Amino acid sequence: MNSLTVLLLALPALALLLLVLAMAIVLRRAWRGRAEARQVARVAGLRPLLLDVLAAREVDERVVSGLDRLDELDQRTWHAVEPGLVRLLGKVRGPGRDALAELMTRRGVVARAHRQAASRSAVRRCVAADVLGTIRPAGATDSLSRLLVDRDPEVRRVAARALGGLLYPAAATALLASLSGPRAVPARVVSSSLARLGPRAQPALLEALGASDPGIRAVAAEILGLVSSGGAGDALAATVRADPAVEVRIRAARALGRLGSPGGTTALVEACSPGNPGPLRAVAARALGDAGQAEAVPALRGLMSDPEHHVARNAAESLARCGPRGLAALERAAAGDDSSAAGEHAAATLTQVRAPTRHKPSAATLSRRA
Amino acid sequence: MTRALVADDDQDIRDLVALVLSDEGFEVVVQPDGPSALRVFRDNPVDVVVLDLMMPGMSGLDVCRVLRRDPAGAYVPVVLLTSAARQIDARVAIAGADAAVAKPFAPSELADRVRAVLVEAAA
Repeated sequence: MNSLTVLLLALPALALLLLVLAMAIVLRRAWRGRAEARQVARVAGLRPLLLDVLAAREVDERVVSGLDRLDELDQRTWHAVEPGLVRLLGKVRGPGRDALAELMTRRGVVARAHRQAASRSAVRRCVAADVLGTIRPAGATDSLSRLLVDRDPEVRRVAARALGGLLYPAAATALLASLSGPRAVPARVVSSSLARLGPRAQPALLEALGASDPGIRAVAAEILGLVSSGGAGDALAATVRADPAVEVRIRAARALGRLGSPGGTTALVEACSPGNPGPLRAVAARALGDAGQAEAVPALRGLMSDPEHHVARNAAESLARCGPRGLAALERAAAGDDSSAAGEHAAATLTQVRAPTRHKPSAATLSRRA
Repeated sequence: MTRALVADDDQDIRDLVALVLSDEGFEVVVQPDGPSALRVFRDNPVDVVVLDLMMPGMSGLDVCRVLRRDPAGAYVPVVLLTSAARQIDARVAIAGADAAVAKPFAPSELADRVRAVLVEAAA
């Protein structure tokens, strides 16, 4: 048998083999497609059950029966349901959510997430951070804090967001620390997570006002203005007065204005004095209006004559937010009692204040209409 | 039956809010964005509107402002769903909304807030 004969015999055999292989691939794909479609349908069928549990105001019979059904799912279906469940869990609070989080812990989701936090795959580490932040199990702070210094920047961002959802005070310390160093997390992400922690973050934020990194101090000052439930006024006032970085003083001034504590007014008035940097003076003048304390009126009235336009304009606008005394000061200045520059700023502000605005009717008006 | 209009681009939130309000006895209409919510409202005004703050294109605040300019929507109670309730208090007031509920929301809190704004509007 020569080589040509061998070739002539082998070619049809090879063609047949290829045909069989192609058919096997097609059949396998069709089978897998049907299996996936069945799985998708099964998961879609379970969605109303998940929503039902999550929307419950209390753990009643309906919730318990829903949880039992989920607990009985085979491992394959559970794996298919799990991503959707994690997504839904992050959108609600309440007894249904807590019951589902418990069920997920029992089914090993948390243990797997802790393991995946050390995976070589960045995607798996991201998923692990997301799961831990959503379920909020004990020990999540430690795992997520380690992911905050991950070599992958996306993992660090996901971990920072997840820490914000934990609602544990210890998360604030880790988040603030992540603002500096070669693997720093963007300040925007950290700020958002600190704000989510709310007043729980206050002890760590107050401590961070003394950090050596001005970036950490700036974020701490700003977030204190958003989340403080009291007790941060003195520390912020000291920061406005004495922090070596102007940006930190500016953020602290804004925060004092938002908090509106009477004790902060003195520090803000001092920050408006001519020896200070212009941007700080302008922000402090505006913050006095945010605070809206009548004690600031004499200082603001004087500032309307300031040679720096932004300071003078902000002072006039702030007076309009300091109640009747502030408005009276504006009217006197507009009538010519103060400098001509002050009069112009006062008149411009009064024009804005008096411009017709659409107000919602009072309850009494509504009642009359009814 | 009290009618509620819910607009949120997130289907999960839409379905959850609808379920919470249905359980409270509301008849609920859901829409995926601001413009369609406004169309539905103009065709058939509702008793209370629940809007997501951060919808793409037309935000909840934008929808609220448009509603307030419409005679039919000027006084309808509006609840905004937001991820940062404390920070948007002032903006909510400026846009004319009646209340804000922070996401992730608790079903009981949402239901109570919606009931409260309806009671206030009727007072």
